[in-house]
Amino acid sequence: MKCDDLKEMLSEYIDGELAGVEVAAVEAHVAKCDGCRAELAELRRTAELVRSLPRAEAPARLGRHVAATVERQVMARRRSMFLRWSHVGGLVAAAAALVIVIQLAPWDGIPERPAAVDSVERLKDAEAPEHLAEAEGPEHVAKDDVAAHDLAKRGMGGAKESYAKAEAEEALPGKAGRESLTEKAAAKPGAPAPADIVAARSRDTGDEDAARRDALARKAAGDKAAERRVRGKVAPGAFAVTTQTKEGGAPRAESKKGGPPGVETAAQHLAEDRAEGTAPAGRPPRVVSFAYECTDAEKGRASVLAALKSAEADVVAPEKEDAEGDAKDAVTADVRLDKLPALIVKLKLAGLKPRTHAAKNGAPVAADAVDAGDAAHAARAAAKAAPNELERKQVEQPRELEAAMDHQAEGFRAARGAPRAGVGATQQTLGVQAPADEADAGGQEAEPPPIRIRIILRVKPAE
Amino acid sequence: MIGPHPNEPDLLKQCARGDADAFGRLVSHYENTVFNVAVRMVGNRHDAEDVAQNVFIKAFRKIRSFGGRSSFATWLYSIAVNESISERRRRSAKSRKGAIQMSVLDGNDGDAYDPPGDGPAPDGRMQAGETHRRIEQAIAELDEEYRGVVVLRDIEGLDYRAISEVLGCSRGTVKSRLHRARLELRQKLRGLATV
Repeated sequence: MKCDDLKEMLSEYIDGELAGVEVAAVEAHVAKCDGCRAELAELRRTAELVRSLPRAEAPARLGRHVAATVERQVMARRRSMFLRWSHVGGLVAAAAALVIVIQLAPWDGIPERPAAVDSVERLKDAEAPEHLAEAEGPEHVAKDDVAAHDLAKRGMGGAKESYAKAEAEEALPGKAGRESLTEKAAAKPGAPAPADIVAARSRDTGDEDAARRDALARKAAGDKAAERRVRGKVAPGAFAVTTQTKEGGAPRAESKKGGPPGVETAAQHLAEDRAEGTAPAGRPPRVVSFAYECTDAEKGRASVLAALKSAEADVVAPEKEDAEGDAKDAVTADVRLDKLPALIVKLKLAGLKPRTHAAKNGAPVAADAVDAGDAAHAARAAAKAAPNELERKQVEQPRELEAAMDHQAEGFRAARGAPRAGVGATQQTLGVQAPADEADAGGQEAEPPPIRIRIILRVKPAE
Repeated sequence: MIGPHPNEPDLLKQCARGDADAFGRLVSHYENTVFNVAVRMVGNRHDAEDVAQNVFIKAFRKIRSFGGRSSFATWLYSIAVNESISERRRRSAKSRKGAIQMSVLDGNDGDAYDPPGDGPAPDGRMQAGETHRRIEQAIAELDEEYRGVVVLRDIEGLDYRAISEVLGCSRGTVKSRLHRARLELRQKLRGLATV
């Protein structure tokens, strides 16, 4: 064995890491090689010097610090696990709550406007865009704006702007928006006139409500003066009316007797239009939308068509989908006012369920109350449920709608043996001149005119 | 090399379930060993205390990843060596002076290196202290890879196989590193008599 090879093995020899044969070879070489023997002695001494170092003992606080830190980690881990599981539990609870809400709440996807009459809008003519009658929650403003744009292109320039502004202001929170809306309507004395589209919102107290009911009853009986007196009493601050001007129409005198400037009912507008000869009689001026739920689309549609047929209604436009392409059944038809209550009863008997509608911000309007004929109660309940004044304004039934609901209730009673009661109120509500008015104006007895209705069906699978 | 705790398998299982008390018993068993390695690797008690604390905290955090392929002591040595190297690198980057703060060698905190009371007389103790300081200085001046094998072999007494496990290298590498480290130390410690 050469010295260089041996020196590589000296550390292993010192550490006892060599096998027996290698140990014997190293010892034999070292015994006869002074240089390697000296090298081995120095390495051995070096190792002994290092091994002579005393062992360092850990300070007592080391264990305490480690224990405290580990304890904190354990607690943090437990907290983390608890939070993780509580988070998961929260999500599960939220999902369960959502499922329950979805199953229990008859949410119909029309958040902003009541479903019984989603919108009360006057069509300019028979081929007016169908979406004018649509009010589908958040999109309705855009749709209405498109409609206004359509009308504007037909020569009603100022109308579009005022309509759009009014809609925008209606969306403003608080009293300011409402007052601004009212002022806007009043501040356009020179604006071209009568309404093609009337969107009305109202707010009222219980006393005013009672007074107005009385007025409507009197109006149905021909007491127009009394109706006007009450209208003047009710009107201040109660109505926000936007008017859309009609091509060639005469400017509207905004300050009418019995009411503040710009605060008028649609019925008042139409009565005046008629008095001025600017509103043609006999054609269906508005579309009133009714929303129903059914469990089967085909059966529901057949029921609607059958009910319309029995009500001697003229089906104008059966639809399978709306302008946005969403699947939906809707039937537009012209029906005589005196047939409307019977139609509603037929629809109910056919198993179609009037949709409970959630007004803006979730304040509910009870459809059942509408069916029961207590529309005013429903409106007040919705107003109470709304957290602020604007929402009360938004969820409260328009005056005209309220009267329509009253008429529906009348319809139920009529179906039980008192036919045609409340027709006058409905006509007033829908802006159609009542027979009593016509009798007053011309002394002629007229058949109740038809109105255009749109029955929207939403399929909700049976639970 | 320190032997395992008598109930080490059970304690390890309890630790894996988050039992801090069980881990505390393991800490008590291994704390001097870990601290000793840290002191020899980083060169001062202050930093060694931080290193030892980090070693145990890291061990507790990762104890579920301890597969048992090696002994728990070997695993702790491995963490201690790596943590000491990291600490020295952090300290070097901080000071950039290259000088090793050997507070132990400066006599500021040399209590752990005092010989036992039944050892040499005061003159002998002073001489031993000087010898120890030179040895520690020599070890501290070794490269990381040489210092590790010297500490593990000559201070902790691990065999070559255990050292190769701790350092993650081959036995041949351990042998060659150790031999070169001793040759370097021999040069540094020439003239010192065995204590």
